[in-house]
Amino acid sequence: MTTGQEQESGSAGRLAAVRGAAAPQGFSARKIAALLDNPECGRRKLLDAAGVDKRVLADRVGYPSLFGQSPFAIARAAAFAEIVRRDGFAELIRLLRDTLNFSLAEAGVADLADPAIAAAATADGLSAQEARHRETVALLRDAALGTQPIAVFGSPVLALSIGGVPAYLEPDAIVHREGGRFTVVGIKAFPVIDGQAPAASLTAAVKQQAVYQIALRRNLADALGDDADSVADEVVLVCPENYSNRPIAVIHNAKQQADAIALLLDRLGGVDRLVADLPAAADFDLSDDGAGAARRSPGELATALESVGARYLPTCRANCDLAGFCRGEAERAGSPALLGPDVRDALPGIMSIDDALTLINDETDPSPDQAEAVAHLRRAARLRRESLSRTEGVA
Amino acid sequence: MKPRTGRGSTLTVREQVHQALSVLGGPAAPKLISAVHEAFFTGPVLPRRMASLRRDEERSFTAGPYQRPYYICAALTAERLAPGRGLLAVSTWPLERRIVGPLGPRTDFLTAAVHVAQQVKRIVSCGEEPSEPAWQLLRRYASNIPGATGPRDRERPEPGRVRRAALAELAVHEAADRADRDRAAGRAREQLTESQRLFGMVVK
Repeated sequence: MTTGQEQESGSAGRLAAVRGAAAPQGFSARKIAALLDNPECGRRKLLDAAGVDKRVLADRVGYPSLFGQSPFAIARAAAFAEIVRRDGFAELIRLLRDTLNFSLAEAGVADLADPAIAAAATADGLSAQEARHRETVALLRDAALGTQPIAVFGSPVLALSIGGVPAYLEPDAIVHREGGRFTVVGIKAFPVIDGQAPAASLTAAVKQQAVYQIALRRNLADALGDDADSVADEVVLVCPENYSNRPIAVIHNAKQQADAIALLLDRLGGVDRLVADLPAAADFDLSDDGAGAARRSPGELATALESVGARYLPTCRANCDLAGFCRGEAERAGSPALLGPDVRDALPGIMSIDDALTLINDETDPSPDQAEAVAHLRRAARLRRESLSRTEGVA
Repeated sequence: MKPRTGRGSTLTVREQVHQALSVLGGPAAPKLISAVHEAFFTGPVLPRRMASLRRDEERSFTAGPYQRPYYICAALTAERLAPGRGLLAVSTWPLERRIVGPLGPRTDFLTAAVHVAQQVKRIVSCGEEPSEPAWQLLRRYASNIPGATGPRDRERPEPGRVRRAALAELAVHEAADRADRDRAAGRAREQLTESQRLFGMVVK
């Protein structure tokens, strides 16, 4: 595991320079899951690692982000989480007894968002998150060793290295059975109606919990030297039941998602190379100079963005604040990626849709690295012509 | 001028908080205090109004200790003897009652359930009908305690049954919880000043 100190000596100094004077934005499980949807995108990787606020950046370069949760949805989520947390997690404890067979005695609670934890550790020179992480690991270890009877860890802080950059993640809760396993719990405000959760929300939520699961496994392995079977493959999602505010638990096996994400995480190249390749003058400083004027003009920011390779996919529009900018760039270049990853992957060496169309009709021989793609294109064009003429013949 | 709130209440916020905490018999967060006041007294207490209460009480205590019959003070976390997040308590309770260890949130919840059930039972036995917020509060406890409701009394839980179920679960936690409280209270008596014992140790 990478610690804060190592971060300072590594690429973090340069990453901080890339971000400039603006306050850093932390990683979240949602961000990591989105990053892993498109792990080859250097632009997103670099901006996330440097903690640049992509939403503000997108706005500044003229592509305001269209998504983001409505304030009503955020308020509703907060109100529901409050119901699950109140009275010492009484609702969650009821659900754990009903679904995971917790015994009556397993009702100990630890609140890792207690400001006293952070306050006590700032004296030791740690950040609030580092302090809460240290406390989380200590309590998890005690629970695993059976010395402290805690069943519910509220707002724990886990650490995970993302492409060499340490990230602190905050699951809603982790629960533990005495002599048993740890389970990650997510509190989600989408309703489960007649036992059915909306598929898209469920997938996103499970993916997010899978990221926590990986972090939890790795943190426990670091603390105890052995993670065999200590974390359950299942995750618990606590959602409102039907149209009420009464919490209900949905248990979902996240093994497949966790395995896939762990693999991607390990393959995620370091950000060092991306930082090194960045032109010396380029940065993404979104701060102002104190007199209300922005340090970087929209043009400078756009040039800096263009100097880092992106990998636009149509699905980016659901996952990334910068998708509008990248889509505009892909449109100007007429990139085959606009038509989706299948088309892009079928056309190696062909940089634009116009090039593809020219090559279909062009009788000249393509360059060797384009030969295979052009053969595919010409065959597809022939099949299309044949099929169209047949339809016309029938008509 | 002391702030006054609530529907027709002539009491100050600290008096209202004291009323609600006296029903619950243990530390509680502002939202619960408000719900209890609404259920059994003159309407909700805005949590916003309770925000600075602990600080004001501490200031008053520092200026002249024990000038008031009671202070609204903090619950202390067993580990650090720091003020428990958002929790309010009454200074006249034994220190052990204000300690929150790992089982504290659960035992405080169960103790409050016993007291709320008693309060509802008292109203019923006087031949009066408890308010809807009172039933709502009793349901909140009953639905999260095993055996506190039967299939037919989910809407109007039977107070005696809720009380028995809460006491039964309390018995399971009692020994471990009491040990945590006694240990922490002992430490607090040794290490803390009188003011810190009431308002918690704050690392600056």
